[in-house]
Amino acid sequence: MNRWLGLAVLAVALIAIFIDGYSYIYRYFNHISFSQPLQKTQVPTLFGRELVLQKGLDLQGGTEVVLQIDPRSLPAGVTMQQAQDSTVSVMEKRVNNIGVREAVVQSQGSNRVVVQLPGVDFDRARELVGKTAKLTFRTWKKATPGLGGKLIVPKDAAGDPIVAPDYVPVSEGGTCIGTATKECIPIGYLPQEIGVDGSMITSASESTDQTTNQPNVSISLNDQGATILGNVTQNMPSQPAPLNQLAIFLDNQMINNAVVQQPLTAGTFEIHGGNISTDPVYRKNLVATLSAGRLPGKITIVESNSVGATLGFDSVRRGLEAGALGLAVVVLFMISYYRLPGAVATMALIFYAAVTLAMYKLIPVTITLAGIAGFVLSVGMAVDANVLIFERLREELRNGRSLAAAAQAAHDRALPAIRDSNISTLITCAVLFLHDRFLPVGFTVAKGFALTLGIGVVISFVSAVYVTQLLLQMVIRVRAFREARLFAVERVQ
Amino acid sequence: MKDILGKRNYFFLLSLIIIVPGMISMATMGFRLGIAFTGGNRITLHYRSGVTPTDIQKEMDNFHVDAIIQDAGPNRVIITTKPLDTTPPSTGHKAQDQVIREDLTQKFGPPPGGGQTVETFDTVGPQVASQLVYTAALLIAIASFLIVLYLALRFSVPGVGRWKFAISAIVALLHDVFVLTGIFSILGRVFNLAIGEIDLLFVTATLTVVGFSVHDTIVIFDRIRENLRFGGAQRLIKANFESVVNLSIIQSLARSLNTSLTVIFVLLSLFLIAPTSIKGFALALLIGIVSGTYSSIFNASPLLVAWRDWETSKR
Repeated sequence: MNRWLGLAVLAVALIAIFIDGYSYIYRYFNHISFSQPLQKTQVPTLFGRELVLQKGLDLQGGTEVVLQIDPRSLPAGVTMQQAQDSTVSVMEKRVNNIGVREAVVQSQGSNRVVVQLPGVDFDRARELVGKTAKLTFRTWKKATPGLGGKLIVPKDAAGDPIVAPDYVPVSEGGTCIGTATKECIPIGYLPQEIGVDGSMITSASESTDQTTNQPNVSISLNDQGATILGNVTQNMPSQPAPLNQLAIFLDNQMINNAVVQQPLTAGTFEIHGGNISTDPVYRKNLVATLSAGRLPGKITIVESNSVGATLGFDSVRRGLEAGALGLAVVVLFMISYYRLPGAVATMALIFYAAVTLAMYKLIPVTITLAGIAGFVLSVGMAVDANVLIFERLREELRNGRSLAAAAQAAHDRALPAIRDSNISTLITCAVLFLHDRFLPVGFTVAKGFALTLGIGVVISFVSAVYVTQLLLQMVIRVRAFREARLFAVERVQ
Repeated sequence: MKDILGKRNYFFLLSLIIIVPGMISMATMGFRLGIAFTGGNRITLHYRSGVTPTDIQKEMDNFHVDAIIQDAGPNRVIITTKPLDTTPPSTGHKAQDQVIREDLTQKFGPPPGGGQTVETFDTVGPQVASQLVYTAALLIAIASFLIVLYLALRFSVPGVGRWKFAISAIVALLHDVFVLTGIFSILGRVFNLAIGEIDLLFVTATLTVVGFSVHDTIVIFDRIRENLRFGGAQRLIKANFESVVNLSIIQSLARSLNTSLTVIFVLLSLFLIAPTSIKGFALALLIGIVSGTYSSIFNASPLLVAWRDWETSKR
């Protein structure tokens, strides 16, 4: 029986070491230098499975944004569940359009969506995912002036003005002074939606104007959008300004306002001017946003965390150093206090560390700073199980049992305590890991910690109870090792 | 043999000496709350040599955002502000947070050795923050409740009853939670130290301490359970429950201390080396684990005895 267990442990250890070192094996066979880090395109895979440690944003740098959907902004008949699902899919498209590797988009609680963007700073993340990006086409309508010639700007369902104050001219109570790159809305007029919006866009792309050679953005509408636009613009060319102008709004910001030279019936048109012509990043984001489609309702950023790449690198290094130092001290302590069994426990601890690391790669577990802390703590728990067994071993030896009998008794007697204490830790881990399923708010930091600690507790249980025991029984068969001082007792039978 | 249980009132007293000031501090001054609970923004700034935190404080005061500057290691500060306006006023214009970050980068960067000047930037809206306090408390309650159920299932010893073990363990657990939260309240509010700030990692640490505290108590309870079962001792319980418990504590003493020592070694190395962002976390775990070891030896088991004595004297 022990022989089979021994073979199984050996096999698991070898597989684990193979997985742990796979990136080196991969480098060897692909003739990549061992000293330099792997490029983004060089991903060690085996049978189509990536075998790498996934680092969290706090370790590799990047931005996490939590978006909240405003329930007041949802159209009638759309439930929050549907809105959340479609927000996730729109965000996935936006992120894919811009080409962020290993981005994660997932829903959280009942009305939130989390977007994780590795290697992206906060400003770019906000540009990309922080916008509701409702594109609307609007024409101009005479406004009734308020007190002192101020423009009364109506509010939308979510309570925001339909035109942002910095597009309203100063003379009408806004802050717009009008520049070459930023136009104000016409004095005395308010925009009115014509019923064409972003949901009718079939494609958007960057292009270049044939005559002026200026960069612009081309947009195509579906049949319904093309028909409405055709009808609305039918008589516009003959109207006086600004009634002959068609404005395009992104949320409440005017991104374009142009004179209609002839009715727009083709359903395809180009927009340019302002930021579209001058800022390539803005242009790229606009295209990504427009082609991803329309969000069901208004979103706001309620939480965000952003970490620079250098800090992340530093954190990894210091986390590993702390882990290594902690382990070294523990090993020294175990060997000096428990002698031979302490050395056996160290072997078991190495087995434990190798298997845990392999599990992180296989599952895969995203490693965060809190995750490293969970791992380090689980090492402490793995050692605890060994301490329990060894204290019992000493006791049984002092009671005059033979080594073999004492080892067996120590194992049997320590088992209930190890099992019950590990299960109580696992209960805490489960509550932490699953809390966002039954509570409205989730905190990701606790989940990473619970996952690594939980995996650690399970593996350490197996390692401490079976692997240590196995090694101990092998060691005590060797006559030279059956010395009392090696077990820190007075006499061994 | 040492008589630990005989001195149990002194041990209870020592716990109270630590817990009562903490509770007074919590009740009157509360905690030094991180932005996770208050809402707001936080920037880790890695500044160039020659700049002092006072320069940064002066610069931030110009923005009128209630900025608080905390030292965070060589050439680093953490700047906490009230919630900044993170919505850009319009296309092509910068939001308040971006204006501030770019200003800081320009005036105080680049850090020695290169890299980003603004290393981290966090924002938490007030609506998220208010729900978190409730969630954190609820999580601790749920975990404790499930552990009580598990213990009641596992530790049913004839003559002692099903719930005494479980409830004594939970009292020891609450002891540890109060020691930890009390000390953090004192650190953060009485001494006004940045490390006493309560954040999400602190909640995680508290939950871990909950798990560890029970873990430690279980080991001693397991010994009591074993001694009661195998000590040939059904009669002995009634005769002298106290000496059985005392024996069990003495028998598990080396283990309790050694285990705690190993975990303390690991945590100390985390505390000394790890990045500032998890120093507070390591400290919280250290306090919790020392308290957990103490309470499992000197509170949980003595309480079991005190309870049973009280019940016997009632009859």
